Amino acid sequence: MRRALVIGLGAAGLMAGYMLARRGWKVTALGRGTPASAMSTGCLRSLPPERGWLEELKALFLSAGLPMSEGPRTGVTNLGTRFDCRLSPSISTWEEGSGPRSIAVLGVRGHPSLRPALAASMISSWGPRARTVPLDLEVPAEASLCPLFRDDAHLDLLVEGIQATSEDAVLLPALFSLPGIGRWKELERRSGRRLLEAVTPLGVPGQRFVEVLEQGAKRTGVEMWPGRRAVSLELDGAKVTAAEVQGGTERRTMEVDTLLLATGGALVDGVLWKGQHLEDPLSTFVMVQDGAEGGGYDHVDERLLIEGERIINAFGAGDCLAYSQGRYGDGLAHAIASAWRAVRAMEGL
Amino acid sequence: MNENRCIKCGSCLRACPVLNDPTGRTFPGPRTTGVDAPRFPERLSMGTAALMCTMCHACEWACPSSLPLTRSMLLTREEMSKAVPPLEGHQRMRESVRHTGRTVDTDFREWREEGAKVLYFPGCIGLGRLPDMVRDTSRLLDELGIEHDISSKALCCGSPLLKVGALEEAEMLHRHNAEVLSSYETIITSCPGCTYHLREVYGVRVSHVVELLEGKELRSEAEGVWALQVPCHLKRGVGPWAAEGMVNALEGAGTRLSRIPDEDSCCGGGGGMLSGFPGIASSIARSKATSYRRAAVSGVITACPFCALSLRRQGLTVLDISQAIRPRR
Repeated sequence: MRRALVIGLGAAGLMAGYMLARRGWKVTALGRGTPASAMSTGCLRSLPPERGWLEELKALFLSAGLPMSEGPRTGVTNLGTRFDCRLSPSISTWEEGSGPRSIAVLGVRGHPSLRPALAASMISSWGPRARTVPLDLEVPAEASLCPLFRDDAHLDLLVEGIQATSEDAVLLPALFSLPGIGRWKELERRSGRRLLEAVTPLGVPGQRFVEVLEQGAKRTGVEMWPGRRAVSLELDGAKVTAAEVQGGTERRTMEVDTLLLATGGALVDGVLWKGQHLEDPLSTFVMVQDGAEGGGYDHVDERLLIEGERIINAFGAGDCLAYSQGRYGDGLAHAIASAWRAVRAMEGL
Repeated sequence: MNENRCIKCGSCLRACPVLNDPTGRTFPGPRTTGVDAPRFPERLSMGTAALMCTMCHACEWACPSSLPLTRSMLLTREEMSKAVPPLEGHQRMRESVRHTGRTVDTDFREWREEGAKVLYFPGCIGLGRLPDMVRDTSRLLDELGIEHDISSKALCCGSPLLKVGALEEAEMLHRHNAEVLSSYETIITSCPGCTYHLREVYGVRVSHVVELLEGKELRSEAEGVWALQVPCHLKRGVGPWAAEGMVNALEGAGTRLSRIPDEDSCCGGGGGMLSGFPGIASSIARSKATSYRRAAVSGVITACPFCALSLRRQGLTVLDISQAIRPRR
C-alpha cells in the first residue's frame, strides 16, 4: 500500500488526505493551529477550469448535512455587501435571478459578526429592500466566537423573531457550527420562512468548511495527528526519507514514503516571513519570493525542488506553494484545486 | 515572543474555556493578557481578572501563528503579582507551601524511601486530596515490575506557584527538589502539570504514568461504559502522543469507551483557578459534568489529579487511569 505523510490540516491538506485515502493510500496527516481556511467564508469565489475534484467535494458536504450549491451564486455578507461566488453552502446564497426582493435582517444584540443596522442600510444600497428586526435576545460580546445557540430557549426566540417579519427572506448571523447545523433546518421548518445565513469570514462558516473535510478524512481512514509540526526533514539525494515531528514536549521521527506539504502561507504559520524574505521553515526546498508568481515553495507540477533538481517524493498544495494569485478571496478555491493536482501527480508516481 | 505576529483572528478567544463559560466573561482573554499586555504595560491595570485562566493551552493550540500564549500569560501574571495583592485562595496556597512544602497539606504516610532508582512523584493534589489514586498508582507500578520510592522529601514541583507569580518560592522548591530528585534515574508522575514542569523547567527524565503503558499487555478494571476526561496539560502540555497513549492503553485493555466531543476541553481546575476563582472553576466543571451525564456513562476516566478532583466535586464517579487498568498476568 502506498503511504503518504501530509503536513498541514487546512483545506489543502485535508482535501488531499481525503482524496488520497479514497484512492487507496495509507495517509497520516499532521499539523497545528487554526488554518487560514477556517477563517475564510467557506465559499469558493471562483471555479478553476480543472474541476476533477468538484463532485467529490460536493458529495462530502452533502453527506455532512451542509449541501453546497454551484453556479453563479449571490449572498449577503455580514456587513451587508453583495457576495458573488461559484460554490457555497446552499443556506447562504441564491441562484441568479431568484434573489429576494426584500430582506429582514435579524439582529442579535451584542453579536459582533452581524450588525443589523449597518447590514440593512448596505443591502438597500445595492439591491433588495432591507430593514432590521431587533430580537429581544442578548449574547455576550464574544458570542460569534462561541456558538451558544444550542439551547431551546434561544431557538424559540429566533423562531418568534423570524415569524414576525414579512419580507421575502430573513438574514441571520452565522450561528450554527457543524454539529448544530440541524438547528438551521429546524428553524426553517418551524418558521416556514426563507432564511439566509450571512456570508461571514472569521467565524463559523470557515470552521464548518474545515470540519467537513476533517470528518471526511477521518472517515476514509486518514490517521490524524493534530497539535504537531514537522521541524526538519532527512533527505537521501533527491528523496525525502524521514520527518522529525514535534508535539508538546516530545519529538519523534517518522519514516517518509511520499510527502505532501500543505503548511499554509506566511499569514498562518506556514512559510516563514523573515524581514523581506520568504524562507522554508524546513530549510530544505527552493522558494520563490513574492513576484508575478505569489511567493512560496517553487514547484514543477506540484513537485517541490531542491537546488538543481526536483524532489522525487515531495509535493506541495495550497498556500505554501508559489502560485499566480487570482482575485482577492480566491485562496480556498486554489487550496482545493491544488490539492487535487497534487493528488493527481502523486497518483502518477 | 513575537506578539507582532498576532493576526487578530480570534481563534484563541474561540478556544478559551473561561470566555466560553457564562461566569468567565470578565476574563480579558488570552489575546489581551498574552499579546496586548506585554506590549502595552498600562493594560496591567486589568487587575486580578487577568488571572482567570486555567492555563489549559487551548489558545496556544488554536493560534495560527504559534504564539506561546501560555508562557506569555505566565509572564503577565508575574508582572501583575508585583502590583496587585494576591487573591485570597492563592495566598492560602502560598502559605501552605511555606509551612508544608506543598500546595495542600497531606495525611499520606505510606512513604517508600528504600533507595529505589525510580521515584513516583504523586504531586500535591494526589497526596493531599486523592490518596486512593496514589496507592493505586503505586500498586500499578509494582505490578508492572517497577520498583519505586515515594519520597516524603519531594515537595511541590513549583508549577502552581509560577502560575500565581510566586517566583521566589518556586525557585526555592526547585533547588530543594533538584537535590532530592538527583538520587533517582527516573521520575514517574500522575499529574501532567508536574510532568511538564519537571521536564521543561527541571530538565529531568520524567514520565507520566500513561507514557509507561505504551506496548504493555493490560486488562480493564472498569466495568460498564466510560467517558474520558483528556487532561489539558497531558494533551496540549506534555504532548498529543501522551494523550493518545492514554486512549490506546484503555482501548487495548478492552475498556468500553464512549468518546464525547468535548472530552479534551478543560475541567476548569488548572492554573490556580480552583483556589483563586472557585466559582468559575466549578461552573466550567459543572458544564462538563452535564455533558458526561448526558452521555449516560458509568463514570469518567482521566489521568490528572486536578481533573479527577474537579469532576468528583460535581458528583461524578472519576477514576484515574491507574484505577481503570491492570497488567494482564
